[in-house]
Amino acid sequence: MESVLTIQNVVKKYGSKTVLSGVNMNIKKGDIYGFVGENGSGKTTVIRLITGLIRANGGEFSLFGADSRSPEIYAARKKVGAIVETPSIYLNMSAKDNLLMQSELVGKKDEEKCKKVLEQVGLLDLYSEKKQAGNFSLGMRQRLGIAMALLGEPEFIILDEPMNGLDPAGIVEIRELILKLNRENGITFLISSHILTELELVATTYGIISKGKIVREITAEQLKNECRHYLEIFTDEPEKVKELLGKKVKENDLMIIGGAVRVFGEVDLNEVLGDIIGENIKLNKVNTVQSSIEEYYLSILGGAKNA
Amino acid sequence: MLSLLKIDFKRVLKDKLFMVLAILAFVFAVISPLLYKVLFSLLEAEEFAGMMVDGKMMFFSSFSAGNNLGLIAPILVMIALCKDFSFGTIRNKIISGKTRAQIFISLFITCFVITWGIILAHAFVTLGVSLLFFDYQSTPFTVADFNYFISSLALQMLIWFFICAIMALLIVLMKNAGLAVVTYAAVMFIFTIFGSITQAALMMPDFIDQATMNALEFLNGSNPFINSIGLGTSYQVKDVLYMLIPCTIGSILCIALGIIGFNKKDLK
Repeated sequence: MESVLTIQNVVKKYGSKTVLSGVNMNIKKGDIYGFVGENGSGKTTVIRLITGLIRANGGEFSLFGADSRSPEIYAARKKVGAIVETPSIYLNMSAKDNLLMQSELVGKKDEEKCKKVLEQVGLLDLYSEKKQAGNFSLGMRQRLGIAMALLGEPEFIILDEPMNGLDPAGIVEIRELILKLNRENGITFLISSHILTELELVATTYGIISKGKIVREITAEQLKNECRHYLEIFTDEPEKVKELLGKKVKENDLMIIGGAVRVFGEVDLNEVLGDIIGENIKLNKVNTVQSSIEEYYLSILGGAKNA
Repeated sequence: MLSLLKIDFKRVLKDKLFMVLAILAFVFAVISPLLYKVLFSLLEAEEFAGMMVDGKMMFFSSFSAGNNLGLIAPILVMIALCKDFSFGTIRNKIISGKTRAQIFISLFITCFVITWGIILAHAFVTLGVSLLFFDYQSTPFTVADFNYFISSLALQMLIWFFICAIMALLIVLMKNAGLAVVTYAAVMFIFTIFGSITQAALMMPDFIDQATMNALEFLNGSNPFINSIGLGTSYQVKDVLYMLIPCTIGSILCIALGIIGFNKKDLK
């Protein structure tokens, strides 16, 4: 399938601090790419890079096939709509004026289109109001920002924490809008979010970033399969159990959390328990657990920290 | 590029600061000639600081970057233009595929057209009000005077072109209204101090050799913040070149540095 965005070994430094240390990423046309990472992991830096707000110190990326260092990148960016960190709106102008300015900028000045995008984000009432955007709530500004991102009829939309400030009804509306635009218009999305449960409802692919590196790219289907069945062993000697099982299980699939040893992935229960009992290690309790996306994410991050 | 210009003009014209600027321009234009008239009536004088006060003097003094509107206009225009950075709307321009060079050029053109437009309008209103109280000049207005008027206007436009290039450069380098304004004030202060020194030195020709005199005349003539354009009756080639060359080179340098500097900048 056609690739919308390909990032290869991108490095970004601010002074002596390395923020991105070799990011590799691939977003295919039609994907809703859920971009997940802890605070300061580099999500917004990657987004700023793609949108041209900052330049990389190394590596390369291509957007709709256009190399980031070539003049064609500017034409490729015309197919992109984005909200980066906070909505970029004129606080001293009304919603209508903001949209008209944006539509002028993207070269498609159309009042009907402005009304349509406002309706899509649930703000049609504001079209005729003179209220300045500076007096809007955070949620209203967020929705206005999304509306402005939609104006250029982009093929690729980048949303940096789009659910911030939205009430539950608003979150549902935006989620439905994302799914609709993806389904009916084939728009590709890159959505960064901390609200994993929200991403779980929309994303078709996930990219997990930690300390400036993509530690895992996985499809929603794969995630569902891996998410993530584990064996939880409560014992008085968790370190000893971990060391014992480390001979048969990958280090990344073994963790001590809350005093219990977790063994991820498919394991032979009889074999594992047999090994532990054979070493005369006392077992207090054994559970089998199907983890949530959050637990999976934490296990990936835990593996990344150990690496 | 046209779309960038449209939105840059619209956002400045819609800004309340522009309204404030327009009001100030009108008020200064009315008050200045009025004050001179009142002062001269009280003093029963016809001159001020050795200079005849007439419509011509009032008109061309209005363009000075060191007085009244010439001080305020750049500051208010810079604050209005810097809002693109404080609001973050500069990001929309970059994300939409505009190049950094296009964005800078649009910002510069907007800065120049609005600043020069306000200064010019202010000058003509000042002239209009002045002519209610004073003559344009003490001698009959001839074709030569008209040519001198047009030439002076062109030179003033060049001076303000250079000043606006400095403003645009500071806006993209500082990305912050406060810093840009303070730096502009510092630049203006340095030029003004320097100009005062050169003017003082020029008043002591007995103590300066010819080469130094020429250099001082060049430095004085090329200083955009201290100029006496339009207050004479004619220009020598030397006078014109002393203004034309530095202002042109300075403008090109500021625009080039602005494009290069903005290109290298990371934006939040």
